[in-house]
Amino acid sequence: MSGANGTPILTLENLSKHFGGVRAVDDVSFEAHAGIITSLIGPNGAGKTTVFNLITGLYEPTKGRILFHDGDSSIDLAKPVFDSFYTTVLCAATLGLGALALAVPPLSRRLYYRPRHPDSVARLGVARTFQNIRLFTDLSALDNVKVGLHARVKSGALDSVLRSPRHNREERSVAAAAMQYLEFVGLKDRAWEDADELAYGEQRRLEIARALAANPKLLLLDEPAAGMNATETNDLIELIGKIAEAGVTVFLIEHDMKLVMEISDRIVVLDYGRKIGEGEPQEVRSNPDVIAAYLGA
Amino acid sequence: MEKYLSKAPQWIAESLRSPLRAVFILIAVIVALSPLITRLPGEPGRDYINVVQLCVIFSIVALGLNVVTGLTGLLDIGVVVFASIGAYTAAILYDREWMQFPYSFVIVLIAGGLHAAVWGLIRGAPTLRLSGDYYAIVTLAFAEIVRIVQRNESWLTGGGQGLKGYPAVNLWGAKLTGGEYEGLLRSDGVWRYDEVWGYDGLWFGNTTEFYYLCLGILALTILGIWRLERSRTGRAWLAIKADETSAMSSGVNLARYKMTAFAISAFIAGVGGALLGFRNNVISTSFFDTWFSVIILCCVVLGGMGSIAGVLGGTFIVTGLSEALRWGLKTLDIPDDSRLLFFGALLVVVMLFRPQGLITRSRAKPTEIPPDSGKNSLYEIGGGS
Repeated sequence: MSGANGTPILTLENLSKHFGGVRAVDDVSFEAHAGIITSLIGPNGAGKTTVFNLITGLYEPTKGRILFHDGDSSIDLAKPVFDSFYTTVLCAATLGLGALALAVPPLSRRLYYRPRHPDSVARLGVARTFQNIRLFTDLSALDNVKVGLHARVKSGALDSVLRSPRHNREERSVAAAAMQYLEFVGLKDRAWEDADELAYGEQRRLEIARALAANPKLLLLDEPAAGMNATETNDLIELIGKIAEAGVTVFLIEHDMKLVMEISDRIVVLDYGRKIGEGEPQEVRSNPDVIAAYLGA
Repeated sequence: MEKYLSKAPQWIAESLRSPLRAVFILIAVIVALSPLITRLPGEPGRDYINVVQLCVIFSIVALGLNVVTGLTGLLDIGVVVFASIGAYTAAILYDREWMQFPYSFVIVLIAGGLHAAVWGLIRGAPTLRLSGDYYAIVTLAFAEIVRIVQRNESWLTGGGQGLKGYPAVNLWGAKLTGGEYEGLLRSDGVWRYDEVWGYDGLWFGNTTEFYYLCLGILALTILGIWRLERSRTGRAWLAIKADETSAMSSGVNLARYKMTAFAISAFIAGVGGALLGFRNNVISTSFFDTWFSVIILCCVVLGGMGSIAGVLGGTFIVTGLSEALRWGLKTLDIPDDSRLLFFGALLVVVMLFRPQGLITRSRAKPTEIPPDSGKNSLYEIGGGS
């Protein structure tokens, strides 16, 4: 487990993402704490999924920082992208001082901006699910979870062609562990079905199993209860509780207020890309800005 | 050995229950025994083995293409690049004096494959972010660029005339010099191996040894791809094919696995191309043109993308039909290039009635998974299991 309960695991500092003139996320700062369940809520189009995409490296932020705290170290999930003015200045500087810039490591690091790729974010211990379920539809449920375990084993193409001892050992462990993850979400009997043959609720749980297979410290769930009926939602609440209890920090986006109020320890509210409220469920429920945003006053 | 023998009757019975597998076993037996038929006197026998041999070599190239198109899901209309680079590299190397030693063809074939793989990586690196139509267009354009270079750099490739008269594959090293083989190099530079070995064909590629070499390489290719498909690498490819975004978010390094696919695909196609060059004993840009890519792609799409059995079936159907049509159209005095029209029609029919191809990727069969609770266990949630 990373850090004691209550210490920040994820810090967003003045995070902005603009698409042309649209400020999808605008100067948002908040923290998610280890060992508790944080929810991100807000009306449609408030920028919630954009925040998730920024954290997981699918988008590059226009401004701001995202820090992931793992034990004592803090890792920049997204380094700032310079705006066009600074880019111009830096390009001119590169032309003039090219040799110097290349020679001085701190300088060259700044010049060659390298965004963090989604797979390295996953490797650091941040896994996610998607709002519109994105499973590998023509693979079996078991193989979907095996892909989730991808980054935790090492055998390469040559190992597999030659069936090296490492390949054999890892394949055995991967299959056994994948089966256990399926059992954890209650899909053990469906392991050999193709992912797109599963029922809707089962697909949602399979996505969670695939994310858990990466052994994340932080699990991002994007509207896990969307389209579920009351029974399925109750099962999901139980499952999320089980995951949090095991020591994974859960950070979720949700529209279902019953679920949010029931399981969240902390809630962050977005509207039009801005943060309009933050706090415990009770606080947020009585926040006038939040009420206005939801009721359209 | 005993273990396998005791299982054999059961396995055969099981195979015969599935008609598709029975047909495949039948075809495999016929293909394996084909050279025996060439020993029969007369023209038809030799033509027949030539067609089967072409099917075998095309299958290797098609399986190579299948790695990128069928498993990783990127449409590649330029596989000819790797086949022709493999062919030229192998032929040029095999002609060198310092390549004349026993079994040097192994080195030459691998070199052809590796050179093709290098170009696979060179083409792949700038196209990593492309997918769908955009990627397909780049592969098409790259194939055309390479073809034009090959046609113009005649100091290396023989230009429009093509490369001819390089030694053919044999076990003892390419150029047989001295003794009874002297005087076999004709004034036009063609080696008269046929006179030495008593084959009545003009091609040394048309021999039983070479046929079995091709068949062996096909078997190795099938084994390799079968194993890759069921491994971490294969799962990563299939994940990329199904959904790039969630593959990345699951920790799959997109660039790395695409590059692996490009390199392996190009390597296999390069080896196949090298064999094709040795079979034809002439390599020219008019043979390795865009149509070559299209025919191979047709084999893969028709048979079923991503399925080894599908690709093999598709290749045998398309190549067999192609040669039959070539012969049929010639007797009817119609230009034999018009056979390509039939493939167009065939592809339309397949796309209408069976868009996934004739044979689809086989589904995972339930097997017993032994639990693994030792120190190797990967099952862990939030630090504790």
